[in-house]
Amino acid sequence: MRILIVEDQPRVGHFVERGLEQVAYSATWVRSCKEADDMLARGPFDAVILDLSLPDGDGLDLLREWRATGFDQPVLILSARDAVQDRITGLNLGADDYLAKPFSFEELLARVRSLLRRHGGKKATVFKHRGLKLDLLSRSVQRNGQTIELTAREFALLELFMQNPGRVLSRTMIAEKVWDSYFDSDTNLLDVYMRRLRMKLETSADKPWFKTLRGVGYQLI
Amino acid sequence: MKSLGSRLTYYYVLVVMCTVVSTMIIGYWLLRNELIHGIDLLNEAEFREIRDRVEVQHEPIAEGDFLRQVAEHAEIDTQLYFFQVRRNGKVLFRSPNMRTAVLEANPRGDTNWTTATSRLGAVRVGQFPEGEFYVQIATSLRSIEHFSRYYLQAGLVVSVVAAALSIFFGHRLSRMALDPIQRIQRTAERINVDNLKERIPTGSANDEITALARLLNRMFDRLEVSFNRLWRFAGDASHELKTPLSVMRLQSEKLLLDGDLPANQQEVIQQQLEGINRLSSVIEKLLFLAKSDVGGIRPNLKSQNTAEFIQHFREDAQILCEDQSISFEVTRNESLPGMFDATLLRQVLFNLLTNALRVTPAAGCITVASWRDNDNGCWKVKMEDTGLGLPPGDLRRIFEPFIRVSLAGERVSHDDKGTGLGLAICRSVIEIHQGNIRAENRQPGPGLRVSFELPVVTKQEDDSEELVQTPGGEEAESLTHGESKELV
Repeated sequence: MRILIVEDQPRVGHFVERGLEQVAYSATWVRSCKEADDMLARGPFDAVILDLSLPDGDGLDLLREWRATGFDQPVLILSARDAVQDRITGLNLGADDYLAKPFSFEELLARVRSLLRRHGGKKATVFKHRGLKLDLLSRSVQRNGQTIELTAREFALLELFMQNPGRVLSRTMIAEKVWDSYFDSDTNLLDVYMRRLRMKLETSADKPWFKTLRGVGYQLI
Repeated sequence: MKSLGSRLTYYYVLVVMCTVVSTMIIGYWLLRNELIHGIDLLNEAEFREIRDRVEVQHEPIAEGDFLRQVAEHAEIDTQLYFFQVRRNGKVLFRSPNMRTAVLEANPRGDTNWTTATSRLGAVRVGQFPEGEFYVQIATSLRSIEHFSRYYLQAGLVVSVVAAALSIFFGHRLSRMALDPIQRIQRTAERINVDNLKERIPTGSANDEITALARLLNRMFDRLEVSFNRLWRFAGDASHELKTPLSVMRLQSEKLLLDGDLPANQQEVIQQQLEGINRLSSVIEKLLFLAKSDVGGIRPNLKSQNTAEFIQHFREDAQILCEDQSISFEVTRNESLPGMFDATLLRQVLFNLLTNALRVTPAAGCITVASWRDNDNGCWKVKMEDTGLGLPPGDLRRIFEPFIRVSLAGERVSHDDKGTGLGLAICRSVIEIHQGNIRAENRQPGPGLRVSFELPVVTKQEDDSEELVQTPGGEEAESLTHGESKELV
């Protein structure tokens, strides 16, 4: 899997490149619109991580150009600008996902994986993890053959974790995917839902299902 | 007379009519004077003829002769004049055409005057001395009265025509004068945050309107520069703040996730991460407030139903309240079709709920109602808690950024999550929707009621059903889920 990173901030770019390589992606990091164009012309990439503030232009213009010329690989926008407005504009221009700075690397990774999975056409409908089975079609959750009753919201939450087992999911990502909210509402809604989900999944003898990482997010273990 | 155009037309007609009417009045007065003066001259000429006739005789002329001469002359001009001769105030002779009428002596010593008798009608009299006699010659003013009537009729016709014409031309004129102003108005209306580049077209003309347009264009130039500067500043500030935060966060997270840290160091890193999250959240909110202040936030308006929207919120609100042993109720939820940004308004409801949860004691109650106000057709939503309410002075201030009134009876101490921006964002979002929000103490209290109204309801549905507390809310849940699925 080849991933192109377009990011002008050296430390961020370097960090993302190294991080992606550590999880066995082949990452190429460029710092400007021009380099990005050259790189794309040279070889196929499976996904692009695109920062919007570039020294020689705007990432959104670049994206518009690419989409106009038929480039259809997934693009994830990374931006330090106005989260709400850029998100809407970016997604309208054909970006596949949007991540606001400051971001968590784990979240970036989860999003890139999800993009690649979606783009690869592998649309799994059943997810399994430690004896837990989540079926998207029948919208049911079973553990060792026993059905667990979940509300729609709890189901959506569990689905997100089952799609990213073992990965740390940040609060912002969960809020965005499950609640469609751009900026957090200062409530502990997510914590309450996590507590309810835990209560339904975990039995006393059981090893915990979720790990809380303070300041980062939650992880299905 | 609201518009400038109709006022201009009105003044134009007024001026034209004043001019026409006064011209006609002055003309009438001058003409009448001229005609009367002509009659005076005729009277005098008549007298000269009599005198010529009398003076052929040698003086002194006898009274009888004199009167006979006058009578003879009166015979000739009986169609046109009345004759009367006086001496020492006594009437010596009256021409037969006067029948019983008598002309009085001149009242104030004038040579010519106008008088009226019942027999002769209005007459113009000239009195001329001849020796010890006074000859009075009178001419009927009937012809002048004829003329006056005709003049009046003609004047009326002229006035009506002038009024009609002046209304027509006045209207055209005002249109012509106001057209450039309307063009300026239309362009100025189009110029807003999204379209700062457009300018009012100015020709090469050098009139006042063009000067105004140029002045406005210069103002728009300055506005555009300021807006762009603000945009750039907001972008730069956010970029400059968030890039180092990104690096900090990435590194702290790596330290934490790579493990091998003693517990106390882990604690420090976690606190750092929480601080970073909090900072970026404050930055995001401040940017939102700054942009909405200058009209830079465009709501993502979509046609949707208010009852469904409230129902979605109810589900999460109930979970949150339950967690704190507070009951949550939707007392009224009218089904109204509206155009609004659900994401932004959900933020408002959550922020209000967060606030209410902070002040409501355990076993308290938070209620929400949503309905259509029949007075102004707005969608109204109110949220009430059973906390202690606020001192009256603080009721307005709570919507200002960073204002943290000490909420009476607050049971959760100000935790790290509150930024003091939640209610300010509520107000911004409501104002973006052209609505208004206010807080008041519940009567009977205690408790706070925050209500907002939005002019977003498109029309009243005929089958306005009430969705109140449908148990389980399964339908709502699946809808919410369907929405989020699109994004996952």
